[in-house]
Amino acid sequence: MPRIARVQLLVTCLVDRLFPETGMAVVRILEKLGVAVDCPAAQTCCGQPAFNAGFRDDARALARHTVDVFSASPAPVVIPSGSCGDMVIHQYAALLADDPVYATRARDLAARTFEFTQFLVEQLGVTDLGRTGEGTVAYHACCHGLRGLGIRDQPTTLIDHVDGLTRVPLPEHDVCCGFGGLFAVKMSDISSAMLARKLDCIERCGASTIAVTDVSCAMHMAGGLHRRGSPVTVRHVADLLDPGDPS
Amino acid sequence: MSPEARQQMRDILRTALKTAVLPGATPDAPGGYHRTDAEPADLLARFTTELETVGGAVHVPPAIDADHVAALIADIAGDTASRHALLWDDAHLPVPGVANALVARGFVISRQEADAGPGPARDALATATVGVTGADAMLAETGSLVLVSGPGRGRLASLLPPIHVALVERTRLVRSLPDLLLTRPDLAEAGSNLICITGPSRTADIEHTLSRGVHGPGEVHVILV
Amino acid sequence: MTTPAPQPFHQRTEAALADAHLNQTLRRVTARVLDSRTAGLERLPASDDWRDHARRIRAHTLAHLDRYLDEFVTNVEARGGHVHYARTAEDAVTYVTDLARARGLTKAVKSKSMISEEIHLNDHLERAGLQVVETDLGEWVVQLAQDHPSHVIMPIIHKSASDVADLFRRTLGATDEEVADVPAMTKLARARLRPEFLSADLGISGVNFGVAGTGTLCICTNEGNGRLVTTLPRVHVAMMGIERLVPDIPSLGTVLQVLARSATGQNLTVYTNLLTGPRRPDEFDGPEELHVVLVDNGRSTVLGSTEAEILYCIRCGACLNVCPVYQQIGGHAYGSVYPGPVGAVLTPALWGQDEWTDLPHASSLCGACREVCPVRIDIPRMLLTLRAKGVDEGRAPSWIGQGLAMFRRVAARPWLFGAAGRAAAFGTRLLASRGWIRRLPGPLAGWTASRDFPVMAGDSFQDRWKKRQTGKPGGPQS
Ligand code: SF4
Repeated sequence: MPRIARVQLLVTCLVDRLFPETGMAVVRILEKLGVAVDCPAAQTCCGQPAFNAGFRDDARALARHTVDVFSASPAPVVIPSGSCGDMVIHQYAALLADDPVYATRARDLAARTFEFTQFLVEQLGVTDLGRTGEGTVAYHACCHGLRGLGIRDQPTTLIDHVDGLTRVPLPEHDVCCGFGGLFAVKMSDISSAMLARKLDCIERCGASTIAVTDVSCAMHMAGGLHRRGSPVTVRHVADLLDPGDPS
Repeated sequence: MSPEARQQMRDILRTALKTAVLPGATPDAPGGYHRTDAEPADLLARFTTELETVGGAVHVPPAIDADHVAALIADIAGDTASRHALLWDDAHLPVPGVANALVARGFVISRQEADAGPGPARDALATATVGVTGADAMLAETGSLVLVSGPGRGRLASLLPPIHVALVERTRLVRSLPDLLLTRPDLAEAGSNLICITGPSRTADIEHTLSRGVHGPGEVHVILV
Repeated sequence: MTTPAPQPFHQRTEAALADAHLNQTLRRVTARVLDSRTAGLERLPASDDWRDHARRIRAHTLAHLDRYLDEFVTNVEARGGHVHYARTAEDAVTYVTDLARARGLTKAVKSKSMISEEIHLNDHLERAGLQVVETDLGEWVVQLAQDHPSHVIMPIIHKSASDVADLFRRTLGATDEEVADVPAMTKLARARLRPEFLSADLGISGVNFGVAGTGTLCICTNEGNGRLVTTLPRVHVAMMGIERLVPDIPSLGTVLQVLARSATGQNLTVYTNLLTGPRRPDEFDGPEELHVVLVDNGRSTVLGSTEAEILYCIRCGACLNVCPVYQQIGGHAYGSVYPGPVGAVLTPALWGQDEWTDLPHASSLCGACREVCPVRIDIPRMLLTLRAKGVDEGRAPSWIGQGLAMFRRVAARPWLFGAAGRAAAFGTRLLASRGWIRRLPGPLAGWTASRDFPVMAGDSFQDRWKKRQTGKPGGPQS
């Protein structure tokens, strides 16, 4: 496998504002593996919220911005989100297909963009990060990562190599938690019913932590668990693999 | 359809096709799928397993003659007071003389003449307890029987009675429906009806709970001859 | 003519979500059917290749639909059948009612046909004085209950066995013994419906596939009613969407290989019925007349659109079964004859978004439908194109439009994005207590109906990153 020395981090707006420590964990993990991380300051949002709501012009504007920001360097791009990853890897090409300037650049960006766990396992060939942990964890497969990018065993392989963590199966682990962006607000009652079903499964499975690859789903499930008064936490896989700051 | 109506239909579709977004469309007709997996070593064993899985049964008479076959049919029909069979014409059954052998065992035989619609003749056919037919093919992969309609081989014998018995030669075994339609597409047009029967009539409309014999035969038996 | 949505979407879903009995029934049955589907496909070697090929066949057929429909018409007529192209629903029902009148037909037996639901054929026939009897067990229940089907292949998935038992007692005067269990009710259906088959003079069926090269109709059923309907009455009318074609008999074999497996997990439906023309002169049975009604009713419009791919659909129902939204709200809440993911695309694509603008939004875009679809229809892609059309037609709620436009202006300027983020984070802290918000304001209140919202971090990742880089040799890098 060719050695990748440097990557650019597309941190995503949700990680940026809601789960900054997850972003830091991603940086620490990559650096510990000898990969230098750049984090272009001009990055904002990949445009997915607008795209999913049907506002194509707005989405295109943000897609162009993101393409610009991450085309300054040819380094691979790592995204700690299957959902934003799917947006950049699959939707940009379609969204910018008729744009004479950006179509090629979008395809080029897509080809060197990777979701975080896929990057570790498939690009770096790493499965054991030498971490330790404790407690029981269950894995929920976030939809866009699973069905858009084919994230299946990568996260669980990484988790299973964390010493001291016990992984238990989550019933219906590949059924949507009901987030769906604006869906959770516009179709709140349906979304809530889907969430309730997910939380029932979580509470039945006996894990103290649910691991995910998308913080959006984490925010959704954690918000539901908190409302129920449940002690179960939802963490991004990177949080479970975090080596901590060396100093 | 009038030429004008046809032209109108063509025009509407051609206009639509100019702007259609059809991912994966190829210019050439793909035709049927040519499978590459190996054929089961024992087609008959597979056929038997599959038919039994869907609730049908396969029988091998001790000897292949009208009398033994009729004995088996009588057995299948059970000790019903009303032994009444609806048969395909002799010429279309692989064993000659089955009708007479059934009569000898106390069966009333109905022959299907041209169905003239609602009335006493049709009602009488509907009281048959066993339908006896041949078959053009047996499909190993699904445990299915394929019957092509034609003179002397009506559709009703495999449809109206609660029990359907098909007399079939082993040589009629084919791997699957797609294989049959790939190699013998002509069969589909040989009569006005090609029926592929996979086990007894069933419904799962209520709570996906299986229940047999709702409108077609509740029992399907194959006698290998 | 389209089915008008009975009430606003939100009201329909509310009612469905509140119905615990419905939810339990849906969950139980869809889980059962999905397990059967998985097992059915696992039994088929190289099932993925079969699916790919089935998709190729459907895509190719649609891309040459003008040619294949023409060929189909020629071949049905060559076998002595009649074909009518019905541009609208009115056109289709008028053809059938006129035919019934002209031939003096009085009693119709029907096998399952979604398209006749779509055009309300029963109502029109009854108004024209015909007696119409649904004969598929599920459809018969629907008719007796004066209900609507809620699934494309399991019309009464929303009813439990005891619901059906009650209905039979009430409408048929059935005894307790006759409704003791599902087999008993099945027996009752056979006994009650058999005389109807024997005496009907009109048989109406749907069509799963028409074969262009031979004019053959393929009708898949399990109960046998499809055979009776197409064999006993003197006139057979087949109602068929214009898109339901395959080029030739070998192609038919391929699509059949994945249809039943995806629908119920069966290898094949019990009866795979191929009909080529009416009864031939030397044959004993079958209808004297065959009429094929090719129903357009919006399909040619769909064909000319970005949603044309939805016409590849072979109506297996798998996307309904797997859909977590469908599993919660059932089919009726969609308000259309075509519910679930396929319906959320097909309904507005056929009949526009005046009535159906909510449907493309009734999805979390989880993609489970695309994964199970035997012909790999990219339903989420088309939910998104429909949402985009809705926006272009000015149908999006203004708070979303304005909110996103502002978001875009902000997000296109990194410095403003940072500042806005800080402001939002400050805002969440004002609303929160102990790290969580229990009530969000305005249109966002939907979120906090069932879940809390986390407080945003005071110092964002970007802040932390900059601080960390400053501390490092070489200073900030970007
Ligand atoms: S869209 Fe696909 S999965 Fe859904 S009913 Fe049609 S063929 Fe089946």
